[in-house]
Amino acid sequence: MPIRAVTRARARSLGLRAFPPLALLAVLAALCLGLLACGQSGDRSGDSRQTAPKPNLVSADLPALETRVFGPGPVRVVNFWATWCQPCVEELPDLVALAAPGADYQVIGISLDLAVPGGQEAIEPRVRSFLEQRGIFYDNYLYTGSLPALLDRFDLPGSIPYTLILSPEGEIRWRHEGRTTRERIAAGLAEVPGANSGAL
Amino acid sequence: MFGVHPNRFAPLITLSSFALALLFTTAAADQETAKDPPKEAAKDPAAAAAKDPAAAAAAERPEMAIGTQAPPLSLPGADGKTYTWENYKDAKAVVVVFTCLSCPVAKAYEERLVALGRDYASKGVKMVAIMSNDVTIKPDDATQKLKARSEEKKYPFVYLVDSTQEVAKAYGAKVTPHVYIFGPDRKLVYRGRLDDNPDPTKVTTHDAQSALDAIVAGKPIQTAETRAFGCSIKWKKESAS
Repeated sequence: MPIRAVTRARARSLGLRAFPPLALLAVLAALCLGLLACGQSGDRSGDSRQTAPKPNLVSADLPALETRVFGPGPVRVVNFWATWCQPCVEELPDLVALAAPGADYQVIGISLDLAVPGGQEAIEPRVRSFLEQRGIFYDNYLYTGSLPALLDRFDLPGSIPYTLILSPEGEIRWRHEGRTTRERIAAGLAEVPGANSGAL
Repeated sequence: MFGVHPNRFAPLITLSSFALALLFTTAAADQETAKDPPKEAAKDPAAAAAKDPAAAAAAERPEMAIGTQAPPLSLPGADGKTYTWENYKDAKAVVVVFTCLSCPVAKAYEERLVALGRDYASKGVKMVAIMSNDVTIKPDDATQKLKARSEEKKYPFVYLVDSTQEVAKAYGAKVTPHVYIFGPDRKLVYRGRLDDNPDPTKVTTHDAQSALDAIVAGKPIQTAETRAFGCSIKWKKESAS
């Protein structure tokens, strides 16, 4: 029997067609890439709890916020939000994008999730897992104090989201009521001296 | 297996393999982004791009000033009837509250609103709720749901449906709940929050109630303005003024 016929017969018996080397390489490459890609997304979900940073959520009353957020320091973008506030949640990816490492400014979130009844014990872990699920790792404070006091202190209109930019002296230099975007905040940052960053 | 003869399917197989590789990587990428913003954001990326002019306009609109004469009112109720100031003409005071069913803060205040409406009805105070949210953004605030909830909880007030959002704009209302109290001559005498804490166990000042007590007693209101807090009113995306 000629070699050709033998090969084909063998291939047929194995249930395979004759593959040229290039095509086989392509299939192998596809498999590798596929496994790699799936592996990557898999890492981000469950397996990498040891390696992924934990969301930085700290509870704070008004005096604590005064010291930790509104004192002297780097230029800060301060965003008031809550998990139950739809426009707040929608703009979070913009803030995450802005919180690039190596920037000269800081992004800080202040969650008003405790404004709604439920108790800190029940609400705090929910906010924490919300942050973790969305990969929000910039500093976040869970506000535990009086709402009216907070609104009065920072002249907030009472609706969130609300975003401030603070100067290095801790003074409010820029405000935005309602949902905003990375570009708009970046434009605000450009107005505040000391906020030079290539990440804009 | 490694035949040296050109297989006529070879180009197709090569192409398919690369296509498969592409599919794997993009599918994995989709998985990651699907974890990010909630579905509502994915539905309306254009709004983000347009930088939400409706919200920007709402932010600039001032709240109705104390002393302002109540603008004309004519809105359909969730019960199907039309309501005007005529329905409230004999009231000593009218409490207008912009509220809704979808907002957790408004939900936290629901019982208190019902209690206030009930307790002060015999004192000549009438209450009316206005729902101004865009129901395409908040389907939980659809008229049928307002009607059902009103009946279920036996609201001592009617829920009016402000579908054009003109009333909310006229009042400069920003959040739910947002309270506006009009005196006997239908001039604004109080505006802002119902009390100082959405948590009913932590309230220290009952601001709206204090205002009503003053009106009923014929005394001046001590605190006429407070900052309302709650969920922003869901403005229609198209309106920019």
